[in-house]
Amino acid sequence: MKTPKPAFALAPLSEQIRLSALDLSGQTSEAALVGARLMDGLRDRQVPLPAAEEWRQKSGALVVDEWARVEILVRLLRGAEFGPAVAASLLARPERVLSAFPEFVSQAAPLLTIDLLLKSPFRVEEFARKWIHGLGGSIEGETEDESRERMERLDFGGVLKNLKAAETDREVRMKKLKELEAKRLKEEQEAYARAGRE
Amino acid sequence: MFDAQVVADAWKRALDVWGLVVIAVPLQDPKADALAFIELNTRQVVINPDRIAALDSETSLEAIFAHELGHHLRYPGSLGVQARLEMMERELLPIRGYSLLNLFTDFLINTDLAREKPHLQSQLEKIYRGCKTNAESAKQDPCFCFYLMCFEEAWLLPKYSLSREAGHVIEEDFAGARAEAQLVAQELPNLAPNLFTQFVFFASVFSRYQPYDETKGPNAQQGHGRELNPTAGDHDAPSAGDYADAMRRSSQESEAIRRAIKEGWLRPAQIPDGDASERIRAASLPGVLAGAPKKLAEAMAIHYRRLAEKYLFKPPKERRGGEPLIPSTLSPWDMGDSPKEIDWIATITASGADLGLASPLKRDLLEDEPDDKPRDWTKRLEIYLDVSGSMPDPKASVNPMTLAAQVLAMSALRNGGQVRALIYSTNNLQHWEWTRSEMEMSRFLMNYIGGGTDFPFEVLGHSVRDCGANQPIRVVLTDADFHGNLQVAKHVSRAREAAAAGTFIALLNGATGQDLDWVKTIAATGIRTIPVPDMSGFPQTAAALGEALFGNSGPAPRRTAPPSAPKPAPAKPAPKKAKKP
Repeated sequence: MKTPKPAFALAPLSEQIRLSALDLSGQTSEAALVGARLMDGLRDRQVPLPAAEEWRQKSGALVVDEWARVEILVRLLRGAEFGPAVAASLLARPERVLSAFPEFVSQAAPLLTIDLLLKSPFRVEEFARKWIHGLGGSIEGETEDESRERMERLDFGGVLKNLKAAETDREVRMKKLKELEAKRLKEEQEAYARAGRE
Repeated sequence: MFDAQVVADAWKRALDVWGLVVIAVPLQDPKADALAFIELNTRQVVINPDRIAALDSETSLEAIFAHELGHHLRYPGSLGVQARLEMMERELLPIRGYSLLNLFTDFLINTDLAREKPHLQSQLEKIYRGCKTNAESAKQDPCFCFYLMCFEEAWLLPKYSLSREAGHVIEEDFAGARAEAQLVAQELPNLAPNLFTQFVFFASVFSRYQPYDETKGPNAQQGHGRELNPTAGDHDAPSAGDYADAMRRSSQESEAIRRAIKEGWLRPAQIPDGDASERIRAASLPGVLAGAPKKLAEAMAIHYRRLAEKYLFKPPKERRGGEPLIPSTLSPWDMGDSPKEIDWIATITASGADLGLASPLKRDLLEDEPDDKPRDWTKRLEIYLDVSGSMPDPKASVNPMTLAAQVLAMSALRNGGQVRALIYSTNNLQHWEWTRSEMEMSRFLMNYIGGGTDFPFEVLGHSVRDCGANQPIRVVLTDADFHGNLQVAKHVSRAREAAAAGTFIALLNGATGQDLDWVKTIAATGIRTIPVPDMSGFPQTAAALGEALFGNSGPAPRRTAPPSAPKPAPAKPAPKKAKKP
C-alpha cells in the first residue's frame, strides 16, 4: 500500500519562509553553525544523518546566501508547525536530506536569493512549492496536477528563459511599427503640404 | 438602475475597504460613457448601470466602487501624477495614440485589492469575464487581451480563464506572451514604491502589444466601441496647470529612466531626452494631435509665467523705518537712559513734583509713517515680438524671446501698468486691447506664426497716431532682420516718428555691441537699441529693462476686481528726442 504524502499548508509555510528571510537578511549565516543546527534537527526528529563525506561534497561549495537559505529550511525542520511533516518526508526517503537542503538551494532554486524572497511574495511561494515538491510532499487543498501546474507557472528561471523569444519578437515588431508610423506620418505631412499649396 | 439601498450598501463596503468614512454616494447615469467614473478633484463617482448589467457584473458593485476609489487614493492618486505619467508615456512609447496608462493604474489597483481584500478578486474576475474575448478581440485590442493574461498570472487563475480564445491567439501571434504576462504579474509589484519605475517597466512590456492600423495608425484603435477595457476612461484628465507642473522631470522620473536603462527595459536611444531639456518635454504635452491645442497653449502659458517669476523675483529689501518723531505713550525712565528723554511736564503732571523727581517718565516716540506714495497708473507697454521662422515655436520649447516678452509684460503689470502686444512674422497677430491680466497676456504670447520677418510699420504708425499725447513705451524683441525691414524709406520715417513720440526700445538678438553697422542703422532712427549677444540672455535683459522702466516687481498681485481704467496723461508740450540708454 502506498504511503500518503505528507501535506503542507502553503500559506503559513510561505509566511514562515518570508519571516525567516526577513530575520536573516543582512546577517552572515555561518556554514558550520547552520550545518550543526541541521544535524541536530535531524537527530531530534530521528532522521538518519547523511555520511560526513557526502555532506562535505554537497555543501562544500555553498556561498553565504545559500547557507542563509539552508538556515530558513532548518528552522522549518526544527519548528513545531512543520517539523513533523518534514521529518516524515525525510524518514520515508533519508537520501532527501541532501536534495532538500544543500542541493535544493544550489540546484533546484538557485535564483531565489534572500533579496528576491523579500521582494516578491511570488518568489516566496515558488520557494515553498519547490521545497514541498523536493520533499515529496503535497499541498493542502490542491491536486497533484494543480500543484505541478502552479509550480511551473511560478518558475522564475523558466519565465526568464521564455522571455528570450519575446525579446526577439519585440525587436522585429517594434522596428516594423516605427517604420510604418514614420511612413504614415510622412504621408500625412505631404498631404497637408499639398492641401496648403492648393 | 440599481436600487438606491443596494448602491449605498456597496458604497459603504467600498469605503470600508480603503478605511474611508464619508464621501458622497455615487450617482447613476445610464448615458455615461464609462462603466464607472471618478472625478478626482471632487471624488464624485458616477456609474452606468446599463453597462454594468451588460457585463453581467451587478454583483461586483463593491469592487467597482473600490476600484474607482483606488484611483483617488493610490494610482494615480492625483492629476499631477497623472500628467507626469502621460508625458512620460508620450516620451517613451515609440507609437503614440494608444495609451497604456489606464491599463497600468487599473492593474495596480486590482491586484492591490485582490491581495488586501481577497473577497473582491472574484468580483473583479466577474467583470473581466463579461468582456468579449474571442479571436476578433485579439486582433482588435491585443493589449487588453494580453492584460487579461496578466491577471490570470497575478491571481494564478487557470490559463485562459479570462482571456479565453483571445489568449490562445495572443500566444500564437506574440512569441513568449505567457512568459511576459508572468513577468508583469510577478515583477511589477516589486518595483514599488516608485510609480514611474513601475510604469516604465509596464510600458516596456506592453508596447509590443499596441494595436496598429497600417493605414490609419494607432489612433484608428481609439474611440468608443473599439476600446475593450471595460474600465477605460474612468477618471478625469489633468488640467493645464497639472501639465505645466510636469514640464520638468521629477527626481523619481529621472530615477525610473536610469533604472530602465540599467535593467535593459529601455535602450538609451529610446530616451529622446537624456538631459531632460525642455524642448522634448514640451513636445510631450497633449497638443494638436491629441485634440487639445488649447490645453497645450494654456499649459505652456502657465509654464512661461512661472519661468518669468524667476527673473522678476527680488529678495525683499531690509525694512527701513522712518525717523522716530511721533510722540506716543509714557514709560518709566531708567538709569542709563538719556536724560534728554525725560518728559518733565508729563512727569510732574502725572506724579507731582516730589514723586516725579524720584521716578521720572519718558515719552516714547514712534517712527514716522513710511513712504507710501500711490503708484503711477499711467505706465503702458506695447510689445512687438518677432516670431518668424528663425524663432522656435514657444509651445514646443521654451523660446527665450517669448519669455523675455512675458517678463516685460509682468514687470509692467505688477507695477500698475497696462500692456498690449503684437506678434509678427510675415503676418501679424495682435492683442491690441490694453490689459492688466498676466494670464491673458501669457496666453496670447503662446501664439506662433513662423515664416519671414516683416515688422508691421503700418500698425506702429496707427498706434503712434491713436495714442496721441499718451504714448506707451514700445519694445520690439527682434534680431538683425529688423534692420532689413528698415531698408524702405517709409519704414524709416515711421520708426523715427515712433521714437520721437515716446520711448521706443529694440532688444536685438545676435548684436554683440552698439558699434555694429546694422545696430547703428537702427539707432540712427532714434530707437534705443539694447544688444543681446545670445538668445539665452533675453529674459535676464528683459528683467533688467523691466526694472529700469517700471521698478521692482513684487509677487503676483491678488485682485478681487478689475482696476479702473487709467486717466489720460496731460498733453506734452513737445516730443523730446529719445536718448540712448
